[in-house]
Amino acid sequence: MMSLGKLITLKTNDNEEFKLDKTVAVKLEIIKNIVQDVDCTSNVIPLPNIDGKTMTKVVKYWKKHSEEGVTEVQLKNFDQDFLKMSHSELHDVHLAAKYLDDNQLKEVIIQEFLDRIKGKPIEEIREVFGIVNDYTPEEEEEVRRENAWAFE
Amino acid sequence: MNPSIHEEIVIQIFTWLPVKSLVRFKCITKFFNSLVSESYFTDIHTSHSMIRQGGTKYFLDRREFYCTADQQKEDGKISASSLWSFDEFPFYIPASSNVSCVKGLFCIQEPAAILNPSTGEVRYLSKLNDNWSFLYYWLGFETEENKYKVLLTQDASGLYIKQCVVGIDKSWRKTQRIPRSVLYIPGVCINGVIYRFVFHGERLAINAFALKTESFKLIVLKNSSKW
Repeated sequence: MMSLGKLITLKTNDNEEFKLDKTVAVKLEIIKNIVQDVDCTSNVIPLPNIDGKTMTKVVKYWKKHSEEGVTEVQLKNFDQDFLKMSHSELHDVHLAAKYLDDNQLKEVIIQEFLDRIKGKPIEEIREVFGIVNDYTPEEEEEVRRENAWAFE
Repeated sequence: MNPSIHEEIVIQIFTWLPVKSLVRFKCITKFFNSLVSESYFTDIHTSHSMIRQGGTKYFLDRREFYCTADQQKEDGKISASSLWSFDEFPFYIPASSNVSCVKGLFCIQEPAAILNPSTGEVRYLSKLNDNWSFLYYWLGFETEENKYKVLLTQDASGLYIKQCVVGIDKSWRKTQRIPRSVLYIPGVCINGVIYRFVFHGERLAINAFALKTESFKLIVLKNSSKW
């Protein structure tokens, strides 16, 4: 077992290392389990599914949200700034949050995606999610006509 | 074009959308067109609608449906906006009318119809073959089979019940006879059982109709005052 007050090192799949205060890291279910299960004398926890670029963002989020005396307004401003990233980067952070079992971060990202697609035309929504249209123009027109009320 | 985002996440995002957006998003691909009718998706969507901040709630008033949209609350009050106007109806729905409502659908008596306020769909219910009976339609939801069923009581005295399964049965089926009792509104459908207040003899009673077994029970309220 690790001793209290030590730093935990998270190592991404591209060998980038992140040193975290244990009090921050054990908030996460997955880290908590690894810490309890594995006798990690080296204090290095490998994260085979996450790259350094994404982990930098995740750690930035964790650090801000576990800051002592941070106000609601500060967090709101931080989140707003934090979420300014491309659709695919946002997706990567979601995958990482999912792997790390961080429900709060997952929800924040789902909400950001919802805000991004709100009131957008179908073409833009396909673009946000990288979805390829498999309708023929006639078929799509048919579905639109059947559900015309939703497009008003 | 962005690299494709996992379908699973997109589905998760969609479970938080209002119905109108979902219907619009049927145009994205064939997959999403069928997704919005899948029961695993609609179940999650229904539960999310309940907890979603500013989740949509519906009100029916005469011929208009109102809904609370995802608007900002003003002074702690939620504002409702007019959503649907069922102009094709020949009658207003009086406030005292026997309207039943379960799991997102409304059932009205005159004309007999099922209304879906989130999609604007109207499905008329067929009449019985005689013109003189007084009919009561009641909508219920059977939780085990996940099906809506409509209970039809003929005459105010409740001579017998016919029942139909929405979307499956075209005509009405006769079901168990019930004792003569005078219907007294309102009623409610809970966990697949439709409970309605009735006058049984001189006492107030509850007529409980289980939609799965199509069986009926009369619960007489012994201490109720005489009618």
